[in-house]
Amino acid sequence: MQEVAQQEKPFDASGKTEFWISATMLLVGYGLYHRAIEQYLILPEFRYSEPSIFLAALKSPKSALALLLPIALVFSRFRHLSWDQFGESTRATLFHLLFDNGSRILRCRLRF
Amino acid sequence: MVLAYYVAAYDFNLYYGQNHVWDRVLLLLVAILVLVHPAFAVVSVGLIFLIISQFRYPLGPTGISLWTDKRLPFDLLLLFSVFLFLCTFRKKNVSVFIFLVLCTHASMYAWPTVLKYQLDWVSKNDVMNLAVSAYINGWKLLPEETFLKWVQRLGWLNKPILVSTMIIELLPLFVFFHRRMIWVVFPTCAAMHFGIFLASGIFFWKWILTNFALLALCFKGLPAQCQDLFSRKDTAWGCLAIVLLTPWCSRPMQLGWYDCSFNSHYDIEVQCEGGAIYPLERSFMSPYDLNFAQNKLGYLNPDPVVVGTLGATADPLILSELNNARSLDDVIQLEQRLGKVHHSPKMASQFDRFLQNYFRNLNKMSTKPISPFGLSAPHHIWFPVQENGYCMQQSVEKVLVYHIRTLYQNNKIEQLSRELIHEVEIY
Repeated sequence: MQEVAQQEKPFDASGKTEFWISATMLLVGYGLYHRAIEQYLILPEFRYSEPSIFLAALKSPKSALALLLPIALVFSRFRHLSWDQFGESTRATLFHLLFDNGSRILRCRLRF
Repeated sequence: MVLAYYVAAYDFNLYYGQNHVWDRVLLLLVAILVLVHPAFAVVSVGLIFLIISQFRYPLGPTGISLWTDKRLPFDLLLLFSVFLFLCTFRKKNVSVFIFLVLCTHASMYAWPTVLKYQLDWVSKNDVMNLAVSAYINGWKLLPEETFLKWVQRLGWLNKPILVSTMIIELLPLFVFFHRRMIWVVFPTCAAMHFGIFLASGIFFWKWILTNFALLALCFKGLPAQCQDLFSRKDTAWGCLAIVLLTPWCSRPMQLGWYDCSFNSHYDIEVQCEGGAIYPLERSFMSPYDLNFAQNKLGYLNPDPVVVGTLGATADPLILSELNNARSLDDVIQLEQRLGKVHHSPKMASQFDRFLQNYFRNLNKMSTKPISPFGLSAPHHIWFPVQENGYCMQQSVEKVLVYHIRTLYQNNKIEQLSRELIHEVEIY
């Protein structure tokens, strides 16, 4: 959380500019990634007859690149990314939704 | 997690004769690892896209219609992946990501309203026809007489339903105007999907879960630095601007049509060893059930047609002419004048190849194989199980496709014609 607080500027004029620059970049990146995976991550029909689609995708240089390049990019900064940067509450909510509610439902079912 | 479950739990692919078990295991593993570290979300995007794309072949649908039911959660996952790329070389700004998540959500709902506005949907459409079409196509929750009585009784709700649908679809645009809007936007969107499900059997369960997840996120899970998003004027107006820009970033879905009182659909029957004939349920064809539930088999039909899935058209002229049609002759004349021929020998031969592969593999098995984990994901379009439907009684030798025309008038459903248009031998 301290890291987040240091990195995020308050919403003064420069904070707003930074916000909109980041938003534009994210929007453009989203559009480009959308198109890239639609263009390169669709395999020819015969590849889906193979036992593993993932391994089949690695056989074509274009689809392998479209699949692995984003993964390599993000994993190269693996240590700098973590759920904590989204705030403790995000992670807590995620776990609460999945596990607390899940176990509550399970307990109710078991009672029946 | 929603998408990972959906993608990992599809039924055995009888067309390819493959279960792709390791891909499913890998996807589930990656989905669990997302809880540990966000970077695994990028791996899951590629895997989900690769696995779902197998259903493009050999019949389609391709492009947007393959993704309609999963577009919202998938696009949010895609956005998250791009956010992680940006985090690798720029300062992390979680509030930007949350802002664009809500803008993407708003654009998914707002763009269909634009088309509905262009169609003058509120004044021209009769949404009760959708319920009748769904009933004709198999969404039969009540006996016919009771159902038609309810359709007549609830007829006055048509305009309120149309107006409230437009309002609900526009509401997400205003989520940044006041923080309390989150309590209105996400539950009403989910409620609208429940309403659509009851009326038509079309179940946007992935969208419903995403709406609840967004509600939980906005209510409890927002980091402290995101609280400002809901009290700033620039984000409120910026959201409107970004939604307008969506066509340049990703193709927004424009879901809008008129529901006609006339229905043109295709029923499939299978002929088994010994000559016994059974109707084939659309959901039986899973994981390709969407093709059959949407009934897009026009490429088998040599005649022109005027309506599509569940009696839908986007042409106001066809709508008004169909409202005046009273008999089979009226409809056939209209089809000759305004209809389009979708017949395609190439697609028809691909359809034959699909059914031959599918049933050849099925005939070798004693029961229909489902998901390897035993828990199949719910279908997007639901049809209740028919008592006399085909359920592996005997091996299938032939598949018969019928084209059926039905008209709903004077609060009665009348079948106008039923013609055999295509046969496929299974060998």
